[in-house]
Amino acid sequence: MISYWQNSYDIICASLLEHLQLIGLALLCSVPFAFLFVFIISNTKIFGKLIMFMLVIIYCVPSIALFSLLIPLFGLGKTTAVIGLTAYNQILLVRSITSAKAAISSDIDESAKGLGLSGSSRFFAIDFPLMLPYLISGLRIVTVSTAGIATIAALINAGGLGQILFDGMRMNSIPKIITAIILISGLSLILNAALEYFEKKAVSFATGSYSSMGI
Amino acid sequence: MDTILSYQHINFYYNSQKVCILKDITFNVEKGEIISILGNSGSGKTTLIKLANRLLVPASGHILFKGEDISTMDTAILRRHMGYVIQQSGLFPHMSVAQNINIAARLNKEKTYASKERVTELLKLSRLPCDEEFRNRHPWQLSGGQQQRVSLARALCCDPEILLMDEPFGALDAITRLELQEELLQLQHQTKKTILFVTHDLKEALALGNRILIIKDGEIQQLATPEELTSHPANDYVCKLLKAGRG
Repeated sequence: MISYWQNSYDIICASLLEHLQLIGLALLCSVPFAFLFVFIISNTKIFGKLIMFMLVIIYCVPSIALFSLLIPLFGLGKTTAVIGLTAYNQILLVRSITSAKAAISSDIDESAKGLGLSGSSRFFAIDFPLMLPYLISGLRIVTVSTAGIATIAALINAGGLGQILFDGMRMNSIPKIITAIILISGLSLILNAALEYFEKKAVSFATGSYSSMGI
Repeated sequence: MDTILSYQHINFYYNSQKVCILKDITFNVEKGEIISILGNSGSGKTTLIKLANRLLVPASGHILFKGEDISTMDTAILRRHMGYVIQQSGLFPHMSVAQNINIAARLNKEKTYASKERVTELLKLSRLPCDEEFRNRHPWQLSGGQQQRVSLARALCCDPEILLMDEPFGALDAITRLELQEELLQLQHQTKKTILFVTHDLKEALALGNRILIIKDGEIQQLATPEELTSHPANDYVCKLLKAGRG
């Protein structure tokens, strides 16, 4: 095990970076699309329902099947992986953005309007801080799930930690399998903890420290 | 008398419903008076004041603010002339008392209204403590009565000419409610603000209003002083309402 780490230090680090890159790119693409979908869903009735239906369907397709479906369209490699991961994330993100919007109660909204706060200043001073806990919470769930599903992306030549895992499985190499498992779950745990920290900060701010009083 | 707000043949209905919420509402609000708007739930009384600051837009008819049609005015500027206080206080949970009070002034860069002295002045006016500890409290650390007082201070921050109050004391206990009614009258005496006060409580309407506007199913039943109301009720509904309210 130790000798494997010593010998393959470079490959392990490169795979880890590749994995992070996949997660980063997928999130970077997912968030703007999710906001776009929420905008469409909240402004059109029938089309919105259709989009929600499609997003649920996509989410129900097993990841490996989704990647295989995308290969004829986009070929093997990172692009396909990022597209697949982005598609997966949509339903989760759309739901958290929707609940974030619902977090602004009508009395808060009416008071803000009634005070004569105009569009953008109202958004940044009132709406955004109150929505933030829900947005970060959604981002956290999506990040953790992306970190997991990105492992499968190794099967379509996208690299990442899945590469080490599947190599280990093919070659029956326990050190490789264990290394991959430790890194994949460790990475998920760290990302989760980091975002959880920001989520707590955001909740504490949005509630005026009510939540941090231990009540 | 000097008319500050004038409703002219206002009709209102929600697009989703075919029912008319307000029918041909016409009346004038004179500068410095308190009008109590009295009606049951669903009578259209809340809708009536939401039209004044354009939270709602009438289907037909005009509202004039100091002679100017409000539909041609900048909505944000119009709203700064009209303080708005609602039943649930609508305080921003992530802001301290002081931040809540002067948020509009701060965001609109009105330096005199955004100052610390202005907050002190408003806290005193609304009978609240003005020490640092209280200024830095967040809404959840306030009692219901304090929340409504802060909400009132916030509405007064930029010195609006009209206060629109939508059942502001509706969720408070009886004693706090009487206190706040008394304080509102004193405050009005000091500041000479014009107030539109929505309530479903006859006693409250009589205690506060120079004139009372009684509304039922979107139609004005009577607009009169408390004395006129008791001596010359306009119709059976007004009679019934007066009887029921006296209990």
